[in-house]
Amino acid sequence: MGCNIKRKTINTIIYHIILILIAIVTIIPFLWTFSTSLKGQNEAVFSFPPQFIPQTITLENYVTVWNTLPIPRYFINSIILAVFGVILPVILCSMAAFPLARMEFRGRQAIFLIIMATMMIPGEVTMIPTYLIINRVGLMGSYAGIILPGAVSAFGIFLMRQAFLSIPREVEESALIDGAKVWQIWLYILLPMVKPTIATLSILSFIGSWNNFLWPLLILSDPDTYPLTLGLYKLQGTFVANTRLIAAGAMLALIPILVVFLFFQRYFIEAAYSSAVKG
Amino acid sequence: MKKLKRLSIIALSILLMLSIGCRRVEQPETPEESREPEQTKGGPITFWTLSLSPTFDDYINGVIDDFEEKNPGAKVTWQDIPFDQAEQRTLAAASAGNLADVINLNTDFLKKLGALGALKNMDEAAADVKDQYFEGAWQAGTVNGTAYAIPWYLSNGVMLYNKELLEKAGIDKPPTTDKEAWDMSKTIYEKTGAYGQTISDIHLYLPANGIPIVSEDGKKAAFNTPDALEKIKFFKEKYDEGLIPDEILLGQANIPEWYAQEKLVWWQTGPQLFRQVKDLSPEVYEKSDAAPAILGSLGKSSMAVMNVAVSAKSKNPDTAVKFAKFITNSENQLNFCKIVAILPSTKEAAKDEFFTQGADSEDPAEKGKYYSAKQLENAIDFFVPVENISQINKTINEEFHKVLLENKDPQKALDDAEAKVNELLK
Amino acid sequence: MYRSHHAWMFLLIPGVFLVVFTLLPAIGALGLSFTNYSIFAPVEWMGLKNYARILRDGEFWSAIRVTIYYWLLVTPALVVLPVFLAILVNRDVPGIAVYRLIYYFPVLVSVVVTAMLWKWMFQTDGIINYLLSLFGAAPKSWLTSKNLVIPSLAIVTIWQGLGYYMLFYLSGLQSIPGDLYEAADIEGANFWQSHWHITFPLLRPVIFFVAVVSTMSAFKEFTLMLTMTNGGPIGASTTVVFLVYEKAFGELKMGYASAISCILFLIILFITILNQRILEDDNSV
Repeated sequence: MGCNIKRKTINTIIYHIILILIAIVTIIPFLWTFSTSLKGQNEAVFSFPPQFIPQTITLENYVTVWNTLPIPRYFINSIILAVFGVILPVILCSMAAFPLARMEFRGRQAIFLIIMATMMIPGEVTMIPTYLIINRVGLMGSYAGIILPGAVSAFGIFLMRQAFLSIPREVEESALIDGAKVWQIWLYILLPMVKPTIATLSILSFIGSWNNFLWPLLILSDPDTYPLTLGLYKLQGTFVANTRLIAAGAMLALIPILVVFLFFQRYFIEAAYSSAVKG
Repeated sequence: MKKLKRLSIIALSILLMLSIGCRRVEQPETPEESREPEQTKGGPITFWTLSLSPTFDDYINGVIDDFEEKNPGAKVTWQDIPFDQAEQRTLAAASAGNLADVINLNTDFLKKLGALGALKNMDEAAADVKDQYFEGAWQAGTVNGTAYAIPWYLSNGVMLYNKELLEKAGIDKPPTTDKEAWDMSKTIYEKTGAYGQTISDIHLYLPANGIPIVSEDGKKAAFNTPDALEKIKFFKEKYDEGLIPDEILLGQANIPEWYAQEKLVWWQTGPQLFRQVKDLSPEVYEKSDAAPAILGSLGKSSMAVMNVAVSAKSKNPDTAVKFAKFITNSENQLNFCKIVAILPSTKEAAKDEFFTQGADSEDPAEKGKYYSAKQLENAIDFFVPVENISQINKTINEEFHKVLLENKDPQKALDDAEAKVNELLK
Repeated sequence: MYRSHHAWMFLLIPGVFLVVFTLLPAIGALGLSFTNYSIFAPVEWMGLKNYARILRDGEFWSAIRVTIYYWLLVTPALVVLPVFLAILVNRDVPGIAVYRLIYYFPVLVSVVVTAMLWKWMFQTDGIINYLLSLFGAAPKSWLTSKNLVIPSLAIVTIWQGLGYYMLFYLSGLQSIPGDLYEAADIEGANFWQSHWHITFPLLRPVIFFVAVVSTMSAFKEFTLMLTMTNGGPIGASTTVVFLVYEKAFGELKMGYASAISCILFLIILFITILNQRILEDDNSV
C-alpha cells in the first residue's frame, strides 16, 4: 500500500514536470511580448541572450498607447463586433448542424459536401466577390458588413456536426416518443450535451472576431468605428516601428481574449464532473 | 446506383455554379453610367494616405482645413491605410468602384495602377505645376511615357555608421566608394565579426552603376552585359568570403535591429528611419554618426518617392487634382519636412535654408537630413518605368540569388533572367 | 422519426447566409477562373486557357510540391500530438485551467508577434542554434536554406497548432463517460491499452475533424510564409496560396489566381473524400 502511494506521488511529480515543460515552450512568446512592453526607452529589445526581466519596469509604453489612440472607443467597437460574432455563429451553426448530423433526408450528403467544399477555396480569391456582394446589398461601412459574412461558417457547422454525431441515438428517440417537438429536442436535449463544443466554438469565434483585421479594414471607412486590432495597427507607422509600443498594444488586445477563454473553458470541467458523477 | 446518384447531384450543382458564375462575371463589364459632366465647383472628395496616422494627424488635418477654407464647397474626407494592406484595400475598393479620389501610392503600385488606366494623366491635369517639381521625382510617376502622379515626399539614402566599431577595426573614416567599402568590410569582418557593405537585391544597384535594366524604349532587357557579369562575379566572391550573410542577401534580416545589435557597422537608408535605431538601442545610436551615401559608378543617388495620384473615375476630378497639387505644393511640403526627416519634391521647398542646416549636428538624423538634402540635386528614381516592374525586379534578383546561394553559373543566370524579362515586357 | 421538412426548417436561415456570403463568392471565384479579370481592364472570357497555362507553369508545380511537403510534415503531427496533450490536461487537478490557457497561448498571440519572435529564434546566431551548439551541433541557417525552410515553418505551425487542436480533442474527451475507464482499470488495462481501446475509437469524429481541418489549413497556409520568409529563399517556401496571393494582388491577375485556387480546391476535395473514407464511421452517416 505504501509502495503504491509512493508510486502515485512519483507519477504526479512526473505529470507536473511534463506539464511545466510544455508550458515553458508555449508561453515564451507571451512572456517575450509582455517583458518587451515593460521595457523602457534605454533598454535593448532584441538582445542576445534574451533579457526576459527588464532592468527597469515601466508602464510608459502603455501610457503612450493609451494617450495616442482612443483605446476605450476601439474597445467598445471590438466588443460590439465580438458579441454578434459569437452569438450568431453559435446559434446558426448548431441549427444547420443538427439535421446534417441527426436526420435522414434527401440531399443531405450533397449539402454537407457543398458546405465542406466552400471551406476549401482560399479566402484570397473569394475576398473580392464577397466585397462586391457587400457593396451591392449596401452594407459598406456598416458593422453588418463585417458581422453577416461571418455569421455562418462552414467550419462551425462541421464542428457542431461532429459533436452531434457522437451522441447516442436513444437519447432523442425516447424524447420523441414522449411527444417532444423537434426544436425542443434540439434546444433542451442535444445542445446541453455538446456544451464543451459550444464553448470551443465560442472561444474560436471570439478570437476570430477579435483578431479580424483585414475585413474590417476593407469594409469600414470611418476611423471612429475601427475595432481594436485595426486601431492598433496605427502603432506601426511609416516612419516609426517602436517594438515596445506594439508589444504594449498587443498585450492590451490580449486581455479580453484571456478573460473569455477562462470563462468558457470552465464548461470543460463541468462536463467532466457531470459524466463522472453519472458514472 | 447510389454512387451514380451522388455523382449526378455533384455534377448538377457544379453546372448550376457555372451558369450563375457566368452571369456574375459579366457584372464588371457593364459600362459605367454615362460620364457625368465635368464639374467646375468643389465637391466632396476622399483622400487615402499610407500609414501616416496618428503621428501626422495634426499636419494632415491642418492641410485639409486650409484647403477647404480656400476652396469653398470642397470637402475632404481623409482615411489612413496601413501600408502592408494598402494593395488589397485599394484593389477591393477599385473592384466596386469605390476608389478614393486622391490616393497616396508607392512607386511600383502606382505604375501598375497607372498602366491599367485607373489613374488620371498628370502630365495633362497638372501641366501647369509640373516645372515646380524635380524632374527625377516627377519621373517616378511615369509608366510607358506618361506620368500618373504628382511626387510628394522623398527620401534619399545616406549612411548611418557605428564610430566605435570602425575604430575597433582600425578605420578612422567611413568609406566613400564602393571599392573602399568592400575592402573595409573585409577588415571589419575579420577584426570585429560585424558586417559592413552588403547586398540583397540588385535591381537598384545595376542602374546605379550604369547598367540599365531595360532598354530606352522599354521593350527589351538591357542588363545582360559583360559589365553586369563582372559585378555578379564580384559579389559571388564576396559572398564566398563570408561578407554577405544569407539573411541580408534574402532580405530576411531586420536591418535596424542588426544595426542596433552591432552586427552591422553601417546602414544606408533615409535619415527618417534612423529613429528606429534610437528606439531599439539608444546606446548604439549614441555611438553613431551620419555620412554621405556611397554612390554607384553613375554618381547618382537613389531616391524613393511617395506619390499622390487621382483616380480616373473620380466624381470631382477638378477638386481632386486641385487637392493633389495643394498637398504637394512647396509650402505644405516644407511644413511636412519640418516634422519628419524627409525631403520635398519641389525645387523651391528644397531651397529653404532649413535643409542647409544640420551639417555639424550631434544628432545623426539631423546630419543625415543635411547630407540627403545635399544629394537631392543629383538623385533619381531608379525604378524602371514599365508596368511589370515588380515581377521584373523579382526575376533578376532571384537569378542573382541563385548564383550566390546555389552556385549557378553567372552567365547562365543573366541569360535566363534576360529571357524571362523579355517575356514579361512583351 | 424526423420528417424532411424538419431538416429544411433548421437549414433555412443558416442556408441563406451560407449561400449569400460563402457559396456565391466561391462560385464567383470559379467563374472568374475562366476569365482574365484584372479589376480595371475589361473582362474577357478565356475558357480553359488559364487552366492550360497553369499546368505548364513551372512556378505552380513548384508551389504544389512545397505545399504537399509542408502538409505531410504538419498534418500527421497535428492529428496525433494534440491527442496526448488533451489527455494530459483532461484531469481535474488544481491549476489545470491555467495550463490549458498557457498551451493555448500560441494561438492567441498575433501573427506579427509570432513571426517576429520565431525569426529571431531561427537567426543564424539565435537561440535555436545556441541550444544546438550545447550538444555540439554546427549552426544551421534555418529560414534561409532551401532544404530547411519548410521544416522550420512546419515547426512553427505545429507549435501553434498543438493548443488549437488540443481544444477540439478536449471537448471530445469530455463526452466520453468516465466509467468506461474505470471498468478498464478494474480489468487491469494499462494507460496505453485503455486509451487504444476506449479513447481513440470514441474520438473518431474529432480525429476526422482535425485531419480535415488541419489538411485544409496546411494547404491554404500563406500568412506564415508572408510574414516570415516572403516565399523564399528563391521560391522554396512559396506555397500554392502564396502564389495565388502574389498573382491576385501583386500582378493583378485575378482570373489566373482564381484558376489556381480552383485546382487547389480539387486537390483538397480529393484528400478530404479520402479522409472521409478512412476515418468516418459509415454507419453514423
